Amino acid sequence: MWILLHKMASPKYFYSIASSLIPWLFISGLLMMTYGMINGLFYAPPDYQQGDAFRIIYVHVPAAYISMMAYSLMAIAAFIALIWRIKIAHAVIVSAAPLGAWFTFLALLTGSLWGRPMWGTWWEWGDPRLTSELLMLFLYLGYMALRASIPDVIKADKLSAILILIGAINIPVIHYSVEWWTSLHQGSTLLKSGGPSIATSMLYPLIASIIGLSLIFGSLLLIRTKAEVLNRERHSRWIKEMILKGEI
Amino acid sequence: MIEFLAIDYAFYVYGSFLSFITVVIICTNNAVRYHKKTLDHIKNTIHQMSKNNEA
Repeated sequence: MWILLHKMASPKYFYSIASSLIPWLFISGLLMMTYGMINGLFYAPPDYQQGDAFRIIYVHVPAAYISMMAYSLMAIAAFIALIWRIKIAHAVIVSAAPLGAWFTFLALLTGSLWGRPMWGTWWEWGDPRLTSELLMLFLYLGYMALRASIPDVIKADKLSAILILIGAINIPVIHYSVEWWTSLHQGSTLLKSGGPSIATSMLYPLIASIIGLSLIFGSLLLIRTKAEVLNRERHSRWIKEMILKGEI
Repeated sequence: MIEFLAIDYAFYVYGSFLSFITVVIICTNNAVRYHKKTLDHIKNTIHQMSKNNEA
């Protein structure tokens, strides 16, 4: 495991491994997403309270999950980058931020589309889950703005990694907000003691959607990280050799 | 088909699915274009440099 991690820290090795992984991740993710979405939309039974509106769960939960997972990944990468000074870790953070921002926006949008028919409102400022998720969108945007405002890459990497670590406090706040405070948002359905509180005919498409979107996110993250590695290593000998040999 | 569209809250359900698909397409398109643009730029620079060296 440590040998693999050590190898992955090498930009050249990372580039080659990522190139071979991307199509597999993307195609398997797309197949799982399609299965989850078609079954969720057309074959899962309607909820006894929410009717067909509950079907929004098949896009809202995967988007919300990715928004939190992307930030957690960035926080772990920021920690690794600051402690061990691994260059790939900075490239991963830079690449995950726009994806995380898009999926956080999507979680807020689909949540709003779900909230309107169920709660009677598009948005509720007093709700802790909604506001903490919105705060995460601002953290993503703040991170990108901070990076863009510092011309020196090394300084930008360091300062933005610190911002990511400080913002990581928001992750448990989002997750536990429905337990700590009174919220319009329902409690956890999947990650709870006693197992998921959802019928299996509704659960399987949801799990397929979450895994599928995670795989798609993984492939997109690798594509963006490859581009970031190219950008950062453009003066390296290995890139020149690979291009002249026609390997990339 | 009409049956599919006639579900409860069809606007909200289909609106959320459509926005989901749109965001996935935007993210995929952005990632692929960003990689292609970066690679093309570096390739052009390196090929130009090797041509200059040969000359």
